[in-house]
Amino acid sequence: MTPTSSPAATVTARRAPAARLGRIVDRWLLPIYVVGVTAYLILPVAVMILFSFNDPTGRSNLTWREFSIAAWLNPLGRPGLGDAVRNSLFVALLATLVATALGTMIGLALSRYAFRGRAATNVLIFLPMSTPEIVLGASLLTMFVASVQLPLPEGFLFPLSIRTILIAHIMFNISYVVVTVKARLANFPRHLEEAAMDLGANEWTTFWKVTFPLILPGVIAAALLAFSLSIDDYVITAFTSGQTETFPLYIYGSQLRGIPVQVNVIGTMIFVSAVALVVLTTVWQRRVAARDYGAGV
Amino acid sequence: MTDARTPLSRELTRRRFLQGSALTGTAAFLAACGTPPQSAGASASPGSAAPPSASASGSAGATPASSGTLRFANWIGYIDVTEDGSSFPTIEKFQTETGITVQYEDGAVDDNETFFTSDLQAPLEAGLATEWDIVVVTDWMVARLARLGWLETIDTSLTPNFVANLADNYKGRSFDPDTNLAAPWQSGMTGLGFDKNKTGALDSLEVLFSEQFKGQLTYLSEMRDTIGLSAIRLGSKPEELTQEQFDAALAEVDTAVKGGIVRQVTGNSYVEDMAGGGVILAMAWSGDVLTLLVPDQKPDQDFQWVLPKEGGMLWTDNMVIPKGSPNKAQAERWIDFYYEPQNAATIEAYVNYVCPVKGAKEVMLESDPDLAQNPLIFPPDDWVTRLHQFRATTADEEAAWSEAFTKAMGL
Amino acid sequence: MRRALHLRAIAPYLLLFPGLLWLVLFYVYPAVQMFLTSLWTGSIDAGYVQTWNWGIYPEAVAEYWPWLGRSIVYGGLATILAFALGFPLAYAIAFRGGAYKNILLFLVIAPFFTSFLLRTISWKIILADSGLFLGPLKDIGLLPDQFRLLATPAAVVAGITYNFLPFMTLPLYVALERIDKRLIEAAEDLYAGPWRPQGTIVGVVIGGALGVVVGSVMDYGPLTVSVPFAVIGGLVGTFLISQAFIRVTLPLALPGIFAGSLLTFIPAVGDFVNAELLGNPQSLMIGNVIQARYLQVTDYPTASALSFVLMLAILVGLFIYARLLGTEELTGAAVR
Repeated sequence: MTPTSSPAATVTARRAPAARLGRIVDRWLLPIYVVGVTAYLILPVAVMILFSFNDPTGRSNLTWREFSIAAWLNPLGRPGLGDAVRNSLFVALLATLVATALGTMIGLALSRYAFRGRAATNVLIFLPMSTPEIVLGASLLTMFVASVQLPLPEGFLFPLSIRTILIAHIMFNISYVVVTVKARLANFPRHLEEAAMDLGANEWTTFWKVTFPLILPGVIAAALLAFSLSIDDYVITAFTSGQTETFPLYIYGSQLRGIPVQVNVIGTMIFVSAVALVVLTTVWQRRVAARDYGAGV
Repeated sequence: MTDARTPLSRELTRRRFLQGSALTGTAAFLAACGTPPQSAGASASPGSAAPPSASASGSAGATPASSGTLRFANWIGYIDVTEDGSSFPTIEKFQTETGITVQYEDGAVDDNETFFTSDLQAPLEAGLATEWDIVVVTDWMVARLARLGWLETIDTSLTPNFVANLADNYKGRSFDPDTNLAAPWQSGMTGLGFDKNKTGALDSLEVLFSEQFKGQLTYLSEMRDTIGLSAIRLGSKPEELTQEQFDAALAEVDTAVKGGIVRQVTGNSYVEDMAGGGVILAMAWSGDVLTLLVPDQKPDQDFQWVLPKEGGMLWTDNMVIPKGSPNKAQAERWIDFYYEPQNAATIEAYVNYVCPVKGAKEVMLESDPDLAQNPLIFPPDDWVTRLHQFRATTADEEAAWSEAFTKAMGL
Repeated sequence: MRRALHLRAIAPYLLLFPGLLWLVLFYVYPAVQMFLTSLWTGSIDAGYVQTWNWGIYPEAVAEYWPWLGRSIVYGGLATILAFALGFPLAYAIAFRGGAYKNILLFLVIAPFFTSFLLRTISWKIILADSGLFLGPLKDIGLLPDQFRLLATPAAVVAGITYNFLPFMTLPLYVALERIDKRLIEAAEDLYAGPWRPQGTIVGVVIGGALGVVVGSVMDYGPLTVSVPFAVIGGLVGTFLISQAFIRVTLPLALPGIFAGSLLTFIPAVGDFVNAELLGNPQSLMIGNVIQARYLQVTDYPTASALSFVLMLAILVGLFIYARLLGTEELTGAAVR
């Protein structure tokens, strides 16, 4: 059913102009485009970073005054800010991990097996994404409060805690993971797995040696989306947090009295360390690859 | 470790307060005894250290709490913070003085509606205690909570400072006739904020409804502020607004929004738009213009806040104790502590809103005369007569009016 | 396959169980409660009673369909714009990224690890009426003094597009990266050449149509925008689109296009923050209505009912879309 099987009758012998066009696009247009769009994506972040070096006289950080590293010397210099950032990172990392695992499993099941209830499962995956956040948050809250009547350990779901935030974040992340992973699994080259099994690998080995490396880019993309959703969630967190403060809650609250420069510093730190992590991983992977296969690639 | 930055002077000011607060302890006592404020301030001369006044003013019967915990939900930046941001001096002082451990959550309240729905409504409706012992909410939310029976009454025999030092215009408010449900924390005023370089001098509410600055002005999404100002312009009193007057005020607002005169209806985000220059006139909260816009204005900007000649709105954020709080006694001890003028003055010097505590001005005259003369913190008498408070609404009115208002706002 | 036969029957259920259990406990159960809420009557003061008031659904739709329609238009527009921006980006990263693939991919998402509010405030600083960008244009007289980008429908759509761009780009990348380059090379050998004249016609038509929609939504008038859009579409169709692309790359990227547009469109329709911060009273969306109904009016039944209407509208849209694209995402009928 792939379009490659279209009749070859349309063959024409105009390879040269196509190649020239391709070269122009490759050499000039695409790189310029990539740089342009990346710049567009990063522009507001650049402003945020710039304003982390601002020294406002008042309490707001909206107009450029003068260069200062004061906020950088004291990045957690606001009561509660440190806790808020810690909570956010903890929730985002754990929620990403769990949601990616659970979502990838669902994605595998949906793309690779025929089973009763498949259509219903598909619909169920789309529903949380299409439910307005406020309704998700409010209905979860009602449920957590009602849970005091259940035979659960004291304080398991209510009073609210970081645990309830985590439950909510895993819930809304699962769907995003499933949809992203499925994009990778469609038209999956099953013959590779079959070959592995024919060669004597069991299901487990086949999965980790063949399937997983093939779907890894999808899993990584899904995890990145989940992390970005979780670290920046305000509405659902506001309903499920109780006394626990997170970074977005802190920022929304502080908008009232002026967002302190420290918030820009923390935002910059999260951005820079995330980018640094990926650059280092890439460099490290290339090192390993160079060592394993020799320098000549 | 050398920090040569400007806030040094501010830090000194605050430190002076901390010392001052111990020294001027008698002020509260004297104020509580009805001594004229002037002499109360004067008698608090350096060296005349007095014991904390809660015990000094004494109360028969119940004994104040002296241990346990207090879970306190407040708006962000609504209490004094040390310069390095590591702690809240006034909270520390309370803990040392009383032995009560405070879990103070700076910014637990972001906005009345969200806080009500996310932290209060579900547990209180189910008859459970919330996760807080003191929450700070605005008048109309107090009215709603009181109507629903979701508030504990404050045992005023345990809060002599509150009884003695609450400014008179806060007593017997329509939603709290016995003055024992809500203890005012700070007040603020709603008036005109504008960039004088672009608009020229303004003093009338008319400009909010005229074509003059079409597309360059914003309204507030708080119904009581926007309708309040519209009603004042039409000559009505928000204290006793009738249905007809509400309808008339709303119609004016609706016309301005539909006609494109109003660029946006915002919460506090109008500050960003004013700083950026797109909005040059706004219904604005007094504290915002002073602390967020003026200090960092560009050379071509001149931000002003005025109380319109027709009048403006006064709103108050109040401390209340949610029903079923297991630490009610600790909450009452805190309320009493806050109503000692020197404590209120310490907090006031940091947050810069209107102070509801009698005697705080006198304390401040001593330590920071400039700030004490600031009309935005201690409004002069001719302002007070022009300031209006929105009346408490019945359940039906609240539902109908907020519905009508959101419709006019484009929803 | 052979030795896994006994496993195959239960394997899908084993894989589904933990994730679905989570969704059933923490999504389905609260959602059912919410559905029951939509059929309540009352107020927070008088208390709510279950009255099975089904009439609320037609009432809510009758009253709020303009907001619903506006949300679908804004969400759809943002999805198309995100696709137009994101596809070349994903394509470039997947096929020409080389050693920088991971880093580039990461730069697409990293801005979204910072706070939405900080990003939006940054945009407000950049796009302010007399700011970095518009200020100079107004000074040299290219734009009228009253011109503004903020507080317009255009700003809302642009804000949504920006914020969901990674949700479009990442799935596209995931699908494109998998394509065997030799297939494309072979196709270039076979079909060669640019896609003319169809490319020109298709480009002009799509660009022009999109321009008409954009122009009318943004109040700039249908023609002002559609002419430049049609020209751009024509140029792209004439010079950048090859036969090989239309016949091989695009069809193979379909799963990514489907996933990306879902991940963008579904949350975009329900979005409310962009409209609240970047829009004006004439550009508010259904998400704002639900938010206001819930928080300000405390009218929980209508808020819940509108949520279900929104979800239903999105699901119906998805079915139609899935049919058009020919995927069996939702029908789940066939398995390869």
